[in-house]
Amino acid sequence: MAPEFDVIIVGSGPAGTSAAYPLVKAGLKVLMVDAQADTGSAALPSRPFLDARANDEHQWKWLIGENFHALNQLDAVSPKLKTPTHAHVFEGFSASNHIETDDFIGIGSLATGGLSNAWGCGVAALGANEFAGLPIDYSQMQASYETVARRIGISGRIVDDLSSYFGLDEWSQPPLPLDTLHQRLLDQYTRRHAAFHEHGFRLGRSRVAVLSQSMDERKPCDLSGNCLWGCHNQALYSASQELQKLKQYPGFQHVQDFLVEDLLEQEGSWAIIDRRSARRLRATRLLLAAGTLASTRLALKALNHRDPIPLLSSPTAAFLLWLPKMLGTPRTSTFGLGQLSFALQLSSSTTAFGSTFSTTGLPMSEFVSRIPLSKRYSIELLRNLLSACVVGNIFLPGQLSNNTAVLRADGSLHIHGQVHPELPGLMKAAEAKLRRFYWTLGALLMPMSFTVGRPGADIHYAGTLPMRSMPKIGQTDRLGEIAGLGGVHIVDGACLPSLTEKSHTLTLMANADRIARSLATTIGNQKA
Amino acid sequence: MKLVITGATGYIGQRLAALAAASGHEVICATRQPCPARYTWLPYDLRGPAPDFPVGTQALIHLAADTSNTAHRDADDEVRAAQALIERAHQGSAKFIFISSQTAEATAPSVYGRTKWRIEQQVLAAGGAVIRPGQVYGGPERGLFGLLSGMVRRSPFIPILVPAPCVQPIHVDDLAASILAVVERDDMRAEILNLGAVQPIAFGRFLMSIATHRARTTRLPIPVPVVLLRLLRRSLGQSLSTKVGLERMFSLIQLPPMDSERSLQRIGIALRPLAYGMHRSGHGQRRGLLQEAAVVLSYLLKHPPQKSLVRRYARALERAGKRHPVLQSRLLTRWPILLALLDNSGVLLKPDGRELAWRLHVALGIAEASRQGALAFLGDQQPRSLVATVVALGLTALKALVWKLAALACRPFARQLMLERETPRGA
Repeated sequence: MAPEFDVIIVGSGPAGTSAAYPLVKAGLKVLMVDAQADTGSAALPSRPFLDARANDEHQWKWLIGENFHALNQLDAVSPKLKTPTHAHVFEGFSASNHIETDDFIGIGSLATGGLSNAWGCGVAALGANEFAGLPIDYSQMQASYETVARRIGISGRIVDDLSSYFGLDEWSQPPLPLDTLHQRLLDQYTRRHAAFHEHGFRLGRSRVAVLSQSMDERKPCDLSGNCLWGCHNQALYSASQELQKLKQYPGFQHVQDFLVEDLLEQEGSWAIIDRRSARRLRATRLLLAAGTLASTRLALKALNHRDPIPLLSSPTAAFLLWLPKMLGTPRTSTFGLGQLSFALQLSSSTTAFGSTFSTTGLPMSEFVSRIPLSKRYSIELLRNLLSACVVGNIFLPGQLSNNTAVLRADGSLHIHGQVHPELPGLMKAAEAKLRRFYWTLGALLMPMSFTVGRPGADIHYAGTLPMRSMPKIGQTDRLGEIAGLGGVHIVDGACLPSLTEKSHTLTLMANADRIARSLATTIGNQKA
Repeated sequence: MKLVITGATGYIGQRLAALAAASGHEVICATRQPCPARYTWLPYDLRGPAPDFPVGTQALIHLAADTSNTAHRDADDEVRAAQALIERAHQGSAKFIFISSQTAEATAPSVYGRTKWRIEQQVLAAGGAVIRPGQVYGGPERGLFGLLSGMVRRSPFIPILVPAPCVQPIHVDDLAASILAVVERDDMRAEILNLGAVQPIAFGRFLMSIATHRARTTRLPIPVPVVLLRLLRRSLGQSLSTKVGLERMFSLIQLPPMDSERSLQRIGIALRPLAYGMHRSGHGQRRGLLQEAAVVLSYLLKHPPQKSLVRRYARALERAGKRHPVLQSRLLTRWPILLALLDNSGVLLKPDGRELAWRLHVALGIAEASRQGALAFLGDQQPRSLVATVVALGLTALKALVWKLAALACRPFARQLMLERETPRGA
């Protein structure tokens, strides 16, 4: 009996949807499954953030949630993980996918659209040199970067010191306006940028998957400051926006509430089995795009591969910058994600990347608890101080992580977090350099604010089953096809052979697009 | 067990029936009016013959009484009715438990008290148990408690009788639990159990407690000399003063204190504090959480918090399964700023400070997510000069420093704020 579908894609996040387009466009029968059980409709702010804070009697419903969601996540590493709007994005992932961690923050999503529902929208393309030694044709990759970038909508196009670093301007919309604090930082930098350049510090606009001009149904960012709480314009990209478009192709089907428990080979085709209903669906090929952690477990389980494998993640830290001259400026409604980004040379082989954000749209409780004063006076202090501050994050390349993942006998995936011995020194160096550079820009990196995240806190996971020219068991070929599992491809972060300091989402999307294009041709030829 | 309860739809009966059913007993209501469908109804009127009990009845709880204010012509009928019930119980070898009154006395001033006494004698002779409750209160506003609550709600004044008569209150649910305990035990036969607060309190204080904790209003206490009431009674005459409830008032005035300590110990029940019992929830937990909310939120917001925030804090804690306050101190209620003595790592990082640390986080989240919080956390959003802002920051730092020093100096005592309890924890 022939399988019902040509391809089944497991996961509807950035990787899954990116892989779907080339396949459906080639007229193939494609089924996409994800494990979203119910679409709980969380309350969104109905007006700009500051206006809502001052006037909305029901603001607690979207700030902390009617079930007090935010208050139950006090240990969460990022405010994103606390917002009621995103509760359904992260809920139940680890338990449903049998993922256990020690010393590692393992995040994933069962929701339609996956983690992109809560994405910081940072995008970057890797350069040709970053693909050196890999079995990937860079020109194909570049074509995929363009396709994906144009499809999802990117803003930040401007000639600045990071244009070549991001490599996306050709396909982007103009940047969003900066707030006064970031404008001041940029002005200071522009005056002496050559000197900064020399010392390995480059500053420029952040490139983000957020619209500054309208695109299809999505409206441009109106600077309402609700990025964290839910954008009513859909200016922020989420893969969930793709489903409507994909459904217009006759060969495309989308099934929710399907939690893949096993992959099973049957008479030259592959079946996925739902954990709850034991329902089976079959296709000639499977594309795993369930998110690095979930895809890794499914692959290892199908292979019955129990050796520990490496898991890359970007070591990360967060910090607070104070611009003393800006004291007394009132808060203004502004864009809530990265406004300025920096690339920082730490050593000949290591570059760090980071962005700075306005503090306006963030819950202040985040900061209050970190100040060594009693809370009553922390609130008072921050009321006057925080409008002159921006927050920043920094990411280091994935080779500085030393995590391992291993499939246990009970079928669970155990992740042990660890860092490279060099990392603490590099983080210290990064803090010192940032302090020096930002001081020159008129901003003080607040003492004790530089906080290094636990392994996995970046939520940039990759490289468990890396693509190789000659893949061994536990690796994949140039099309993400798992060695030992012919017909099963990994198209998400799990097959990326390396993880740089740059945001890797766009790269994994482009890679999924590249693999799917190639497969569309192959399958088309086979059918013919 | 199979229990027959007379007067099961009354103030006490209703709570007793519910508790007994919840504890797994089969409840049969011997009442005039049909009872709720979850119990079996056995039609019975005090003025009629005793009904036939269902086979296997193990206990009869006799709560029914003629409490109408008409003159007690039917006192003999009431005693006869009780007698018939006792006989039926005896035939079916069921236990007999009679709910009497603190006023029961051979020489009681009221017919009510004398009738109760006469029935008691019959019950004791037949080996039954007699329960004498003090001033029953709490739960739905019915019975005498309903009468008093209604009066407190309506009248702007509260009469404080001089000299003050005393009452020994017992929450209706504590009474129900006690009755059920007596039903379930085999070693309580032919004895009288006095149930009420060990320490009598002035009747005026009881009424004020209704005003403060139940009706949540302030009422002006007006002293009323008892002599005046006696004069009134004389001028009204016996039957009229019974009609207006004055007789009942006098049975209260002449109430002898009862020794309840031994009975309470024997049953093994701890009565809840009056303030907790008066609360609509019937216990002090929510009240304690609300008080704690008011303290923590005003500490953070520097102003009394909106009521909705206080309730939200209590709800958030209850949702997390936390039902007891950790802060309960009059000092903090009066000056929430004193919480600064506890809000430092020296206290919050210690094992016994972790709970408070968590609650401060919760309060912080709730305080911020409000219009009131927006003002406290974000300010009024007017541009300020750099100098003014620097001065404001300096002042904040100074205040924070002063409190830090104070916290250091008060460290040995500060913990008391957390542990001090207004009243012992209720049942």
